[in-house]
Amino acid sequence: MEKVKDWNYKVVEKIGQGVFGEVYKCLNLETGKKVAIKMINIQNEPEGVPSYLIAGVSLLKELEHDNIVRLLDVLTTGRYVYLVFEYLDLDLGSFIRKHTITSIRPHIKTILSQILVGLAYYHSHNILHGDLQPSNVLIDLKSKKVKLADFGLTTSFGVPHIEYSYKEVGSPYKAPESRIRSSVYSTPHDVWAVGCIFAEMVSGKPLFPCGKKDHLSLIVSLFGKPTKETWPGANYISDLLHSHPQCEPADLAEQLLGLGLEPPGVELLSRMISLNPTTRITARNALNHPYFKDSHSSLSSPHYEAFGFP
Amino acid sequence: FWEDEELLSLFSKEEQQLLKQETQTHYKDSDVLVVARSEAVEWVLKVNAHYGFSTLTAILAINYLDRFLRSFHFQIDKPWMIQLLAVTCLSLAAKVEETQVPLLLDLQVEGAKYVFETKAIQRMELLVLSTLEWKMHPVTPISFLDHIIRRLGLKTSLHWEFLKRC
Repeated sequence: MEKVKDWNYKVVEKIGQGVFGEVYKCLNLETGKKVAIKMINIQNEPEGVPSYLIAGVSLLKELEHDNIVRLLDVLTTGRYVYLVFEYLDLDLGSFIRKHTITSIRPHIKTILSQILVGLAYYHSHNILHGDLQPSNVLIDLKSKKVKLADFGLTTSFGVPHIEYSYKEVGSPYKAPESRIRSSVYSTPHDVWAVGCIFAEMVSGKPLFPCGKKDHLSLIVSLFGKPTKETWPGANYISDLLHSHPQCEPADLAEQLLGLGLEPPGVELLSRMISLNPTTRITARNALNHPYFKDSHSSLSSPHYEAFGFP
Repeated sequence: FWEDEELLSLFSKEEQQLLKQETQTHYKDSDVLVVARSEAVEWVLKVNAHYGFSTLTAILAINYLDRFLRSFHFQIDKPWMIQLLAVTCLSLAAKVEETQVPLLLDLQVEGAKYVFETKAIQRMELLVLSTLEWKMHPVTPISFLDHIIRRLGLKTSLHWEFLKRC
């Protein structure tokens, strides 16, 4: 990472570690702007530059959207490839931790809709985000922009691959099909994660917190044990699912209504975290959901104080 | 309609590519380079056929080769240089487009005059990638073929066979 000095960057701190390398927050000394630099080690690659890196960077180069952090530059040395990304100071995770749920409530719609717009853009390019979670949703308070980032390196640039989803334990935003289905996961996987983020904004805490119980047990205790009706196509002989005891679904709707979420919001959330990935709502359709009906006009209004925190 | 949207984005991407090309300095059609390029193209096509790669793989490899030659002051003062560039471009194209990619050593067949180590090819790959700004999915004539076929409403197996070979 010493090397980035030569390109006029100053390392501020390490912000992530993943399968493919490390991520650092850096300062561009010329422009004064903050960036995130993802460092990928290629010196032990036996067959030249690996294809996931070529395909991934080439795709990222084509992405250009207001709600997605930009890949600003790609720097190389003989041993490393450095991906320089746009960076914003605040992420949704810290945003939720720092504020009370009543003060977050007025901003949920604008944050959620921008996440969905960014995600719909990814999906329209046939790209999976693969690692959506509050820490990957960046917020710029001044411009009131929300941008999706992927610094975690937990997936190789949205190339579908089932094996990593098994290795990764702990991400509470993973869709159930990534655990139980034998097929590779696809775009509905990301929508599930957005649903989890949505619920977290409403309640102030993760929908499926990691820790005490395993992820799948938490999902089962929320929805009840899946049946062939609620989730056709699941692999029911999977040990994971087979060993779970029967249980009644919890009433999430009532909890969320109690926390001040409007009924259309509850309906939208239930469609985002539908157990069956084939019936889960798409990012694009979610944007047309009645929940956003009254927010579109105010979103475009310059007077709309999206993040007007005192 | 989504298909039209897709087509429009292809057009605008193609336009941007052309603009970019015009601002770059064109290489002089010096004889050495023209001959070297044509030999390189021939070799790429042979290896492409040898491994049964798709036509798009060959088109991409040659696209990378031409874009690199156009934008990099590449001195062909050593005959092995163009060969290294050819292997590199084919390797990159295969990695982008093919599901099964032969080992770099195995890629150097069909009368390759020089054989390069993996490390040398990797260094050249990085040079080509950064020279091309990692833009490895250019719009090519083949990008439009699918749209043309769909609009012509060709549906017999013969048409699909033709399309598959493209």
